Amino acid sequence: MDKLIISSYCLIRKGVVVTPGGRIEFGDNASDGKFFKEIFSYLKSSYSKFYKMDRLCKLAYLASEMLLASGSHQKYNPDEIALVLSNSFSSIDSDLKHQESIADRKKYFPEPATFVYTLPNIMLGELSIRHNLKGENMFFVCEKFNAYLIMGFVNILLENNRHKACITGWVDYTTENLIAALFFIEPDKSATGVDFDTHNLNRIIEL
Amino acid sequence: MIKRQVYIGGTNIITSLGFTTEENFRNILSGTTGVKTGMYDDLYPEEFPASLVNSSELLRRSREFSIDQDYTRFEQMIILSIEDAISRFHVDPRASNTFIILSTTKGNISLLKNSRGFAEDRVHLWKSAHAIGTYFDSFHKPLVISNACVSGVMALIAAQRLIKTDCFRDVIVCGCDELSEFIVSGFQAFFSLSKDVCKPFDKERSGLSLGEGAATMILTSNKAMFDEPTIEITGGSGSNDANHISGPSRTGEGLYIAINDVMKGKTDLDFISAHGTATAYNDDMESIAFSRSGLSHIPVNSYKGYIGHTLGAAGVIESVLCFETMRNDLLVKSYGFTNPGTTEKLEVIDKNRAHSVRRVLKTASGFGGSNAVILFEKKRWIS
Repeated sequence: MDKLIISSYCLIRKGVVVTPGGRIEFGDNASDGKFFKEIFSYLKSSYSKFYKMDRLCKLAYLASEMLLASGSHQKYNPDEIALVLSNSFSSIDSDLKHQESIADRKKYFPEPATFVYTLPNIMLGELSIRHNLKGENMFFVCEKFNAYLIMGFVNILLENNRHKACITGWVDYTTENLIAALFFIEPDKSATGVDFDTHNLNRIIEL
Repeated sequence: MIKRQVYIGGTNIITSLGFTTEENFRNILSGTTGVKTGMYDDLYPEEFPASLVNSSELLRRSREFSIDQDYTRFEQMIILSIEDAISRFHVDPRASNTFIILSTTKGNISLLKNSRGFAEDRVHLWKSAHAIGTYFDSFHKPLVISNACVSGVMALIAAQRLIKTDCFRDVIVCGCDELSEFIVSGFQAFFSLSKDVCKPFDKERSGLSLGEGAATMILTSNKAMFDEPTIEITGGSGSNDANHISGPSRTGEGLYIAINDVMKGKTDLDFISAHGTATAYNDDMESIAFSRSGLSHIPVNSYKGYIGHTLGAAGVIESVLCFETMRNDLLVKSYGFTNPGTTEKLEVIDKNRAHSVRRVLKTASGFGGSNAVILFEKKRWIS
């Protein structure tokens, strides 16, 4: 098998977006909602499903738009691109929202539109729909970003079956903190990118 | 690259039908369902059918292992399930070549309503996994896989790959979900629950039944542990429909892709253990995917009528039941099925019968549009 490389990445932290193309500062004073809208406008996106998503999915969606902006992933068939994501807080933001809706039996209003987002893998579903990805979905919940786990697992996945490329990384959202780090992993044919190893994963997520 | 065979060792199932694999399988063979309609006030304000683990028996067993105080009900099910499986097939969780994978959708989510004296962060899946790791003194921290209804099958696929590539010799896979008001109210809001015990693949089916439980499957490459041929996991694959976050694909696209990846166009199977939730859309979708894969003639069942949909546990529970059908060469009736009612015709098993069961496909599909498929094979050993 050809050596795997990180051919693209996108890192989003409060107020800042980093891609191989550079760093864009949005100012870290804005609320998350405003920050997400600013990135959305920057992308000149008109993807209407964005407005229905919970904040975890919005974050993942925005990072994926930056990650796949070049469209070079379209050289693969939809079922050849896998998604292997992870985080530590699962879907806690939507979990709390759903819990609030059932806290009082006299004011009971559980809503399907909230409940569906109480599964962290829904963000993989959202990315699959947006980018027409039909590969395998894997979602891990770990205390911290585990580059060793990601590297090992993605290597095995790309060695062993139909998958040729993989979008992997870490997308975590709470009202206190947010981070998205997505990496596009593919065989080294274009030779533009850095080695897919734990050093580079950990380096990029700290940019 | 090293390629190991992946064998199934010990198993356990904890559901409304019992606390061991044998007890569950015996009750299933006798046609018993654990889905009971009742007023479960701590789960929902109205009467509904559910398959619940006997809490007083769970507590009694938890006391035996001294885990009644420091572990949540969800964690107690996991610990008891793994303990029972290990007692039947010894692997050492403390060893560096042993790994524990947990599959769950919501873990300790019931702590959001009532923390019951546990620290606030215990609601997080990784924290719960650390507690399980501490209990077993595991060398590696257990890994949590949370992929909605396909979690259990994805956990088995992950384990199979980690053993096949010699990352670990033994992997303990435990799937578990506890029913909570959080989960029940959500499914009720979707109007996806059946008023009575669910009826997978039946014309009159009207939604799913929820269940809870845990199951463990120990996988190993250590052939020396077996005196006679056992069952192997020989393939696994996942996919996404890329269609809708809460509804299955009308064309069965994702499931078809995953089946095709595992079967490579072949159709030599003895049995398919389907997802079969008994929602109109899911069962139709599966019938279409099986038809597209040329598998409409293969005997198929759903175990959901016996134990409900146990979410993150379902894939592991149903895989253990597949293992039992293979060991016993039996095809098990699909509970709740009387009249065909899916878009494409299926060969739904309508009564228990003896049958050689050498190759079994287990499928799962769920929220987020994800699908997962795993292949079990009983091979003859050449000595």
